[in-house]
Amino acid sequence: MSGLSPLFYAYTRQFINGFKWMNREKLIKILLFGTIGIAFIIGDFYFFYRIFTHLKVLLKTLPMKLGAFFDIGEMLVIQLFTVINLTFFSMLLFSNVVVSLSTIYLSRDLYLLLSSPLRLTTIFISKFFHTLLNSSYMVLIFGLPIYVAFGVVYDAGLYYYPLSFLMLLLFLFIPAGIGIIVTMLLMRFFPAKKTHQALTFLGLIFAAGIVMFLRFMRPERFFYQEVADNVLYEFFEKLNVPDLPYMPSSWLTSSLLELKNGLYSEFFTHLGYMAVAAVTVFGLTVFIATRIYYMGWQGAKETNNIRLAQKPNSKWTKIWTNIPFFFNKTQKGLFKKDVIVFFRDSTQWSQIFILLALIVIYLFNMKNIPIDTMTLKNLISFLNLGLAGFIIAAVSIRFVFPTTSIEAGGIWIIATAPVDYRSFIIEKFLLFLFPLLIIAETLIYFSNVLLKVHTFFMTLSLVTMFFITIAVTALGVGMGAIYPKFDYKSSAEISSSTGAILYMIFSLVYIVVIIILEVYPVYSYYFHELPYGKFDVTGAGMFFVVALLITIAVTVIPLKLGIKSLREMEF
Amino acid sequence: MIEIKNLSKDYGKIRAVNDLSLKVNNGEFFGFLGPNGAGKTTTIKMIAGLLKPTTGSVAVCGHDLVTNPLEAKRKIGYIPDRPYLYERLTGREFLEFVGRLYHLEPEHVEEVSREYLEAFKLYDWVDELVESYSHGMRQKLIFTAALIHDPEVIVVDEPMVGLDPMGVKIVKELFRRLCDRGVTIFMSTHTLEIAEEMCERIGIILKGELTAVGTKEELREMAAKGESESGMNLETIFLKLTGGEEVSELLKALRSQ
Repeated sequence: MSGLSPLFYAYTRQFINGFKWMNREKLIKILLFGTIGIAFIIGDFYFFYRIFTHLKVLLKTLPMKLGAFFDIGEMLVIQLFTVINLTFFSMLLFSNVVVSLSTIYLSRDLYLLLSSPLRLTTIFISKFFHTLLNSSYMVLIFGLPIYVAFGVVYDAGLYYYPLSFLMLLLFLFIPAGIGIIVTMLLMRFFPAKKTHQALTFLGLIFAAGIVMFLRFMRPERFFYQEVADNVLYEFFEKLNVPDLPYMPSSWLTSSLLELKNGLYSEFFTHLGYMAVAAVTVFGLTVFIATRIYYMGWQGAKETNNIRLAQKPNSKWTKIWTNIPFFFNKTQKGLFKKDVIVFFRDSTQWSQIFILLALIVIYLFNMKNIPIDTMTLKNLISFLNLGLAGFIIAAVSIRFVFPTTSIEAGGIWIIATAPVDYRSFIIEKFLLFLFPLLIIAETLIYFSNVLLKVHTFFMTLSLVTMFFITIAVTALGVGMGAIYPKFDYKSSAEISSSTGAILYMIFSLVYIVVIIILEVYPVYSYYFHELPYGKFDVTGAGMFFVVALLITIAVTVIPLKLGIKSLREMEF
Repeated sequence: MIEIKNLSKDYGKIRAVNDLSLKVNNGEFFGFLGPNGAGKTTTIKMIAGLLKPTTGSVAVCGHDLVTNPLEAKRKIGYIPDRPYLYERLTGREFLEFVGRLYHLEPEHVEEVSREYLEAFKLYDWVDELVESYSHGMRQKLIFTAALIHDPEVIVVDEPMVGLDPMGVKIVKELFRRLCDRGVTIFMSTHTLEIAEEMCERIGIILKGELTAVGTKEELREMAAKGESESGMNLETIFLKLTGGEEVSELLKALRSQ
């Protein structure tokens, strides 16, 4: 195992060098995401602190209500932890399968490592830990505040914290080992890249499902000062899962309760189970690796006959490629290429599911807004413009902003061809404008229908949203060309680049400015509904004109700057 | 025809190409030699319009790459050394896409690409995704893409890397025929044998400066005189290019042990 030390040295040096040679862009990103991360950890802690506090109070009050002592609070804690730990286990299992595909099979350093005189077992173990770390850190970030909140609320004592942490660490080994074994078995039969794409797609569906599930439970109720008991019961009813005593997640749940109650002998029994299971799974993973890993790695390269020949231009292809009849030849070529590449890349098109989940959640929120007066509903409809605008900006940052960057290494083909960048930028702009208009107007229309707003607000919202979408799309295409990131490893890197963050800020400022400019026309409309009130057509009209002029500027200027930037760019 | 005048390119404080002037005539096969980091790819990229000169100019068929890039690019077929392509297009779709960028008729693209792909024994793969192509197959696809618009000038960076012996033979033959048809070829390489076999004139670049230009005979003459344009012995230049000086030193050191 002495071979492990140079490998760990290489990994840690790379990690340290990442900080040592940090440029300003990376520093800003770390600060930004660090702040968001800390805010998330605090929110996570606070949310569960509230839940556990309610459960503790419930334990004290229930005997009086029922006339007999019934530890329902603890039962609910067990139920909650069962769900949380089981969810963690499933998420870890899945993420280990996906991550291990990259680290153990697709990683480029494997060519160097496997040709070195290092033992295969040594290389595999280093990759095991690499996978474990990459796939489990999010669970640690999300899970630890929950366990700490539990310890704080129930005064679990000092031993609780290190022992529960140790238990969690051992727990992480089990899904990692199982996930890696699943990957190794998959690799014996399927090519690595295709499996990776398929699993990434399934992962997105899984993530969208979890987000929707969490939203439909309406967790915001627990941030209110007083939470009614029936709200709590209803919440836990939805979390009902069968008891699975042989699952490591159940041992983790039991151990937390045992630590809280000072039942150390029972705790150490469960710790023993967990340790034995962790060591066994780890040993089994290494053993299986010695048998099938190398063969799998060799076979993981894409085999030539895996994908059947694509049908040459079908009738259907000819129809859809000619839909944008107004495009010139170059633009038609770019359009066809962009659409084909998008729908053949499962990491791209599968995000549509996240988008759909977002829309459903959005409309669900609109339906559940606890407001019944017409005036307030109209007001919410007006403010809804801002929210829908933010949604469009969020979608754009993922799809529109990266549109130049995703040309990546292939940009030389366009750069050396007689392509006018005006055609290039306009094609990208129109490519995204129509789908985004459909999404934006659908959001606005249905949320206004759910709010049952007045025709004036419906019209105002639909027209305003139309222009906001045009401007936000143009801003995304333009800024994406001004700040491209061609050297990305995953497309998510483009959406978190400095240029993307700037784009988000500019879009949000623009949307806020438009909303502010429309305040006066809305106010004037309200005023005219009062007795003797009158709609100030001139005043309102002036605000609309200013909003329109700003929209034209936000549309035209970034597109022009994007074209200029591409013309001056070097590749 | 390619005309390069006082061309320089800076990357920050580093000067990659320094005051390079050169003229390559119609139908000429010009070889551009130099060791790694000499400035070959930077020069090639400026000719292809991928990089902008810091000073000086490049004109292709009379069109300046900075002031009239679209006209210049219409005349050029560029073949890079690292063949990145759109992985999720098939070979046919890729060629059709390139054809549209050059405003070509689909029938023309189909006809010309079929001709080249068959010559490269790649036609059977035309409806497979590019991601399943080997390095050499990608290189052949790029050759085809660079030729479908019948360019007057071909700018090619290390063309033989990754090609199998059959591919190399086909490319050599193809280049010869193109030159016979009046196509100008500007080829960068650090493989002396290929340059010697194929090029009519050779330019040698070292540390961003053009140190010698001429036909093989002219270069030999320079070497015989014992000095090149920069006063450096041509043999020394060639040895520097091929790492020969270091090899000689190493052999001396080994013998003395």
